[in-house]
Amino acid sequence: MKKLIQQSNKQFLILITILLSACYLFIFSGLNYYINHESDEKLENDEFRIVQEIKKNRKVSSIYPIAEIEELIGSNHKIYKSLKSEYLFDEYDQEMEPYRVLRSIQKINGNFYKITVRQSTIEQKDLLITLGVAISGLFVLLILILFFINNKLSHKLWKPFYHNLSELEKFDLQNNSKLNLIESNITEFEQLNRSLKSFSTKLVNDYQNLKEFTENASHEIQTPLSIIQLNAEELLQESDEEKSQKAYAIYKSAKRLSSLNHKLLLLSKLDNQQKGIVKEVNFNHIIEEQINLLLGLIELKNIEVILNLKEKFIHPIDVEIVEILISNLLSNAINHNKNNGFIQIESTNKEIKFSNSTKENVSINTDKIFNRFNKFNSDSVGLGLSIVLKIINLYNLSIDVSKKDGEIQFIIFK
Amino acid sequence: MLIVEDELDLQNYLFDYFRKSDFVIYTAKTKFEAEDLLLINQFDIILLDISLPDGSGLDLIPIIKDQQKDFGSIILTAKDSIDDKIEGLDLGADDYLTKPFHIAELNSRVKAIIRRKKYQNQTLIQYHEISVDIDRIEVKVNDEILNLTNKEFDLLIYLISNQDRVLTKESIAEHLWSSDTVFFDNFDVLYAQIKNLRKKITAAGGSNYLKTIHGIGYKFTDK
Repeated sequence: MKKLIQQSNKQFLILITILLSACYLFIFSGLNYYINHESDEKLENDEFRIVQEIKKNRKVSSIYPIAEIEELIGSNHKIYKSLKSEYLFDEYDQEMEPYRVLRSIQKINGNFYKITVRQSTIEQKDLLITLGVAISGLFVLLILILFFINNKLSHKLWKPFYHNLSELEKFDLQNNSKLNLIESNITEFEQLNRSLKSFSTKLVNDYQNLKEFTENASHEIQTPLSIIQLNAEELLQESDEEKSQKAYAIYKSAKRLSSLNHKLLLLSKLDNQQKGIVKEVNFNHIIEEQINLLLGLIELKNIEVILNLKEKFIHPIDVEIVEILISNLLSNAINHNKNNGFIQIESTNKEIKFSNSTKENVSINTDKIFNRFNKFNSDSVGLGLSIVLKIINLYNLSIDVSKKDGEIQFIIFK
Repeated sequence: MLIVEDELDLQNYLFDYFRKSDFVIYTAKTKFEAEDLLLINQFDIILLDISLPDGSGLDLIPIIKDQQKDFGSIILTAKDSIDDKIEGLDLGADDYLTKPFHIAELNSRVKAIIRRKKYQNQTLIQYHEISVDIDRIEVKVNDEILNLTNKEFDLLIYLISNQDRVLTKESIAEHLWSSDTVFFDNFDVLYAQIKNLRKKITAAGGSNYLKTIHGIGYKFTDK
């Protein structure tokens, strides 16, 4: 891709070159024709005079190369006349010089004569060359000046446009930034400005509305869920076992809905590119914290945790999001682990590796592993890993999953 | 106690629940109503919902601080927003719970505030032969000191605060680990804690008040 100025300059140059070349050809051939024509007239004149002299029976001497007169013997000679341009070697200047030549064979007073008259066109040709050079020089100068002026003008004209372009690049929907566009007295640019302004305003408004709607909807759900849960918990207090078991079932479902609601809200926030409070976060710290939190479960399954945090893995991201990321990965690693298995976490400043042993007789499809609601057992909601993937994508990280014999490995890298 | 909550169902629920604990309860469903009540009465505990129809519950906190002498306040909200949490606690609320919450959890926190207030930071809780010293983090059964882990200690206080009530394993797990979702449906860790606590109490000669409610949870009771 090229800049507009470069493109227009290139085209301008090509066009000018073609035009000038055409001009040149035109001028040159025109002048050339004129020169020859002038010479030809003179040659005709000279020949006429010579013929007249011969007719008067006066002897005409040859003066090479200007005029040559030769009387021809015999009677089968064709009468003709020709005009040509030729080069002759000039003794005086010791070089080849241009001439215009008229040759003819005529019958005068009963005899055949060959008449050759020549005229040097060197002066004219030289003039032509000088003219050519002068015009070329002029043209080149003209082109350079035009070029220069064109560039300067272009830059000046396009400056507001480039400024507005950079404003556009800076525009961030999340940060609710405003577009500071430079006004221009050029119709098209003004039109563009106006369109951009209304476009961006609408975009920001729609985005805000969407955010609010999603959050409101989610919050609206929480309160009724609360009521269900609380009342179900109340009913649990019943001594009638059958009734209390039913109440417990209602309670558990309400809890699950609530958890699902929270996760979906999180996913939609991630979808909307809401980045939260972004700071440089040391992942190692969070990893240790989360392991501590889940220590009970880890010990219960007698899982060996091997931490190999060689270097600090730091990345700009929201702290709470990191906690969710690590917590999800760890929970997965624990829940899909076998008893007496292991979890190994290694970190360098470029990547973090999570590996863990997996339950026997369970097959894992690494292609679909990040899909929403891809569950391994019916109790988990199945959103954990899809949340992980969304987080990875939002904060410019990458993740790789691979499996070996009885082991699965996740690598997060920059 | 003052309950400020615009959802009537929830308001009624909280009313019924805390009435049983011998609270005298006033209710308000708007900021306006609440302001009126705050002017006239002194409350020990104020349960405050943030999302009220005529404004944010947080606006009431300065008013409460102004009008009320010795009070405790807990903010309830559907929003899981850290900003609200910080703002609320900064303004002077004592505690913060997000909906949906376990009533046992709310109860336990209300009790904690009352303990702090009424008993002038007296930190001794007595349940039959079990005495818990919160300050010293010490539990005695008939004067014999029990060796409890931090989690077991928290568990015991929670159980005593909510005595005679069926507590779901989820609510206990959430209280101890501030989230029950990490366990999915595997509460073995909790079972282990319960078992250990029970053993330690009975080993020191205490009765087993920690009853298992099959499939659901536990109940700390002497009945």
